[in-house]
Amino acid sequence: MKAGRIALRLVAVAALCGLLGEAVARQWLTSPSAQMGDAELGWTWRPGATVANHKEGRARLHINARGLVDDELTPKGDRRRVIGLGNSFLEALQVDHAAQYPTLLEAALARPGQPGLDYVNAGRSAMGPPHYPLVAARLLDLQPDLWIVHLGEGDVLHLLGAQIQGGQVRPPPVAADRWKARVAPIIDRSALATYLMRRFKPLITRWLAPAGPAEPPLDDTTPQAAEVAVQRLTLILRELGDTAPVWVVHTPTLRYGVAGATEDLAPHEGRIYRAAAQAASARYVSAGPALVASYQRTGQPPVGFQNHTVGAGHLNAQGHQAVAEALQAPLRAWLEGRP
Amino acid sequence: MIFSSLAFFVFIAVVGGLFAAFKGDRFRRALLLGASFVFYGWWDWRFLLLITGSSVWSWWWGDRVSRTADGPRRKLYLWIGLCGDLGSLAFFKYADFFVQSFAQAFGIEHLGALGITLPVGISFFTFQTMSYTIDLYRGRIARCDDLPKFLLFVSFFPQLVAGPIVRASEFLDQLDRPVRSSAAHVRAGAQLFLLGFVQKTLVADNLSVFVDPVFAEPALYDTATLWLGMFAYGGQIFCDFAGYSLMAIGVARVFGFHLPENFHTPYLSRSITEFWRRWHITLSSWLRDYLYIALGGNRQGPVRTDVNLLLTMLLGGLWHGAGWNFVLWGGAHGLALAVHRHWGVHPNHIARSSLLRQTAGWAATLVGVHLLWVPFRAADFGTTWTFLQGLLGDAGTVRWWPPRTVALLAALAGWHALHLLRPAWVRKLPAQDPLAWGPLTVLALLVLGLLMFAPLEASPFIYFQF
Repeated sequence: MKAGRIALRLVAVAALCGLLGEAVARQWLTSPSAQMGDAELGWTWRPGATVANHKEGRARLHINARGLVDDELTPKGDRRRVIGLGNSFLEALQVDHAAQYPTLLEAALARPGQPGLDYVNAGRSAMGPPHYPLVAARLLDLQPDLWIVHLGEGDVLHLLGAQIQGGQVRPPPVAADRWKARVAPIIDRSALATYLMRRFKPLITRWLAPAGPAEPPLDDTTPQAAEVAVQRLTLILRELGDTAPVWVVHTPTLRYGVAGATEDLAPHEGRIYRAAAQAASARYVSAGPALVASYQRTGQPPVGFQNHTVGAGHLNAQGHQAVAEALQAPLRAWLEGRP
Repeated sequence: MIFSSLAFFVFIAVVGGLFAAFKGDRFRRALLLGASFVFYGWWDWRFLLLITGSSVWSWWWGDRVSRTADGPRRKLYLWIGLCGDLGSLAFFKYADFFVQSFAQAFGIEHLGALGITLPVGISFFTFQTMSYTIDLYRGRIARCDDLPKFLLFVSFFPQLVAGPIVRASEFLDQLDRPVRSSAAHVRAGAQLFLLGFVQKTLVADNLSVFVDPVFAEPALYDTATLWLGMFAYGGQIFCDFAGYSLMAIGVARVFGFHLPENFHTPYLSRSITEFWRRWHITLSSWLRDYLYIALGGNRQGPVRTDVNLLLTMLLGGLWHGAGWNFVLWGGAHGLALAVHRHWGVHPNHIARSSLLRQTAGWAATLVGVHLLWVPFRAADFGTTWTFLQGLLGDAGTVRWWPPRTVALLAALAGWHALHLLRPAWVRKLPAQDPLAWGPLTVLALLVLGLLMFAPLEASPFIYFQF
């Protein structure tokens, strides 16, 4: 067989497999990358993009003009506006918009003839409390009546790893990513390339620059760590509180055991968040009791997904329902001006 | 060194390159022996002493056996050789188990574990050295005068740590011939290796993501999830072990050696007896030839035959691991074989029985074998009991049916069905030019599947622990 014919055949088969891979990736894994670099926040969403996630749960979400995983924002009018700040638990790429707890709360608290509630979802994966003042500063023009800071697993570590700049708590500087700029033209168009890039990047990075001896992980359970975390979170909550009242919602990391039994895997986190909320005169709401009740009622864990892991990971639709239930009464009281 | 790791690919490229560059038989045998020692020493170099010592011991006593005509003395040399083999296996693999069992039985609390490291593949290479000594005693093979050649037979890296269990009669002859490899060998070997690699990384490793948590806490999950978990483990262990065997056979083929088939679509078996003719064939035939027949086989009446079957399978279970769960698994298989011997259709005649009977036999075998995978996989008797109770309805509440697991099991079922039907195009595929449309497309799809779905961290093979 001539070399030219072999080459042509190889190209044809590669192209066929590429197309098949692209279709499989779009159907069952992800969408092309919709991320762009931000000097302060790291990766953020490109306004107007559509993001599909099929690896953990299944959802197709619209990124609004402000780069948030939410409907397009409309003028506030008479409504009371809550802006939720949080990480991937609030951003909730795993469930459809209608199943996310901010949307559920908007629906639950709507009353005929009353202005109701606009709950803006400003959650973003991989962020932590030190990022929230930066996010909040960009959303001040939305005139929030209340900040609700969603806290959970790993946020204490974010606080311990933060920097103090002029009395304010800020995240470490964003590391330059040379890869993204080079491959952006491909991954912005191809779901397969995006998926493979995310999959192999850690491996390639490790090969190119082998890590030295591993540093011991930060221990966030010591009294000293707790003290630092409380101080820093208090500073953050106070900074947010300068523009609007602040609440803290804590989603504890629970182990969902046999016969409805649950165990809080990081009780120290709850203590830290509660203490900081108290110090900053912010309201503290734990979603823990609602999550436990939901598990005991249905027998199914409120976290995890059939196509990933059940009982661990992000909130599923049932978990969002539970968090919405936890927040519903306090928010109704707040809307009605009751304590 | 794991076949599915980057280190192995570098290793095989270097060894393959040197093998191709130098044509002399002596060099090639020395290269393969050196490579086998590097392969084994990569895990823990200290155990090179063990494998060398074990090989020299068997070679020496085999030599004594073959040079002695006197019956009792010959038998004595055989037993000395076997005691050495079994002694090292007993020490490294079972000492902790027996000490712990003794302490538990007599309530001795201060008797702790000895903490002996289990040398990888000890069960496999010990069986190989034993088969050499026994075959010499039985006069079935000629003595191997060349110690390095014998060392290569025991330590040949493709099958060293998890089989197939190769007998001296199957391998030493190949070492006497010129060590040659051809393009056809390389092509066939690479195809087998790729097929095994796909079975291991795409199927087995992905199934383990579901199997591990389900077996870790079976009380949590509902009945449907436990049934899925049980079948998923059946798929995982088959693809893990059959995948390894194919990779081993493929690597050996690249260097021009033929290793025996180890699996022959065992989940298509229509009886438990047929299952053991298709599952881990080199072990079951080893147990038959060197244990069951040595115990008397079926020559001493029906009761003794049943006892021999039970004993053989009990020891076969214990060979898999030092734990009572393995004893239970082996014993249950022995019992099933004995029951089938009395009431079942002999595998040689089953093709002549009705389709209904064959189907019923297949379904019963499939479910029975999978039910017995539960004690094999579960950590202890308590977990086994909880799992089996859950399968019957006394289960937890959490439902988990991962689509990927279901799809993999469906693909596995389809693959078995393909073997059953064997359409013409499947039969022709391996013999075709790899650059023809069909094989090239299949190859490209397999590579795409690996890129997209194979776990990136190489995980050890299940049978390494045995």
